[in-house]
Amino acid sequence: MNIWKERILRNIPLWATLFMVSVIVFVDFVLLNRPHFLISAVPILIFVLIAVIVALVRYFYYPKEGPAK
Amino acid sequence: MMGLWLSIPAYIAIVFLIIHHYRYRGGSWPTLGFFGSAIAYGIIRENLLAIFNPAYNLYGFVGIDLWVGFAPLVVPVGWTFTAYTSWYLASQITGIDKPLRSRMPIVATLAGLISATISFIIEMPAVAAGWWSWNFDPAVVPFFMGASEGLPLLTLGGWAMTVGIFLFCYWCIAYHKTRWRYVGIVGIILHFIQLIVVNAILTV
Repeated sequence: MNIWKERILRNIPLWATLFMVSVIVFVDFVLLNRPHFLISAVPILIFVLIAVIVALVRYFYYPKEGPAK
Repeated sequence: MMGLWLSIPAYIAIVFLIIHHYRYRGGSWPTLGFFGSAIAYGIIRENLLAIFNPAYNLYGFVGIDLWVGFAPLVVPVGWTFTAYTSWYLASQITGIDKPLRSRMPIVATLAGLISATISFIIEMPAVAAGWWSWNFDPAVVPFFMGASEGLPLLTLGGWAMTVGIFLFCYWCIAYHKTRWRYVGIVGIILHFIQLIVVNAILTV
């Protein structure tokens, strides 16, 4: 199978998340006319927090063998 | 017709997630098992809350939507969408696609945190768009962006806990043949009881 097609299909949940988030941000920003900076900033900050937690977990939980496949 | 801006994208997205699960996570029966149990869990949860707490009358969809008892179908579908995408993102981050035993709490907690961030975006316009409203007492539950059209911060924890507990219990039941199965069943029952009690306490 074409490698790009396989990559796209394998990451469907990621595309679906981006699709839903785009629709809802469009509703909030355009249809409801509520352009709050914090609406987009806070989830990004939370994602950064999650990334830090994950990095710590991976460091301490899989110190030698790496994550399970 | 603002309700259509939530329901139609949610139904489209869930179809693609079903295709993904069917293709990469084990065919027909596991796919039916996950999506069937998640949507059934959401329907039972919403109906239990509405039956045991008459003040829990949150949904005001305008547009085309299907109702199952007190639950609009888009709510369990949207919630299932969040649970599956959170599971996918958590498995991508940790490298654990099929969590077993001691790895379940870690992936479930991470999936819960991710679902809180997704829910933040969904919840922000929900009240202003008329999708649903919240009856929490502003003196007890802090609101983000005001009590009239903002979101109660408690709901982020609610989404995180619901997704984390559901995924943990689902993995216990679906992936294990030992006593973990009983842990999953008891966990779901305790979660329903806890939801009813907490919601009754916090609702105006």
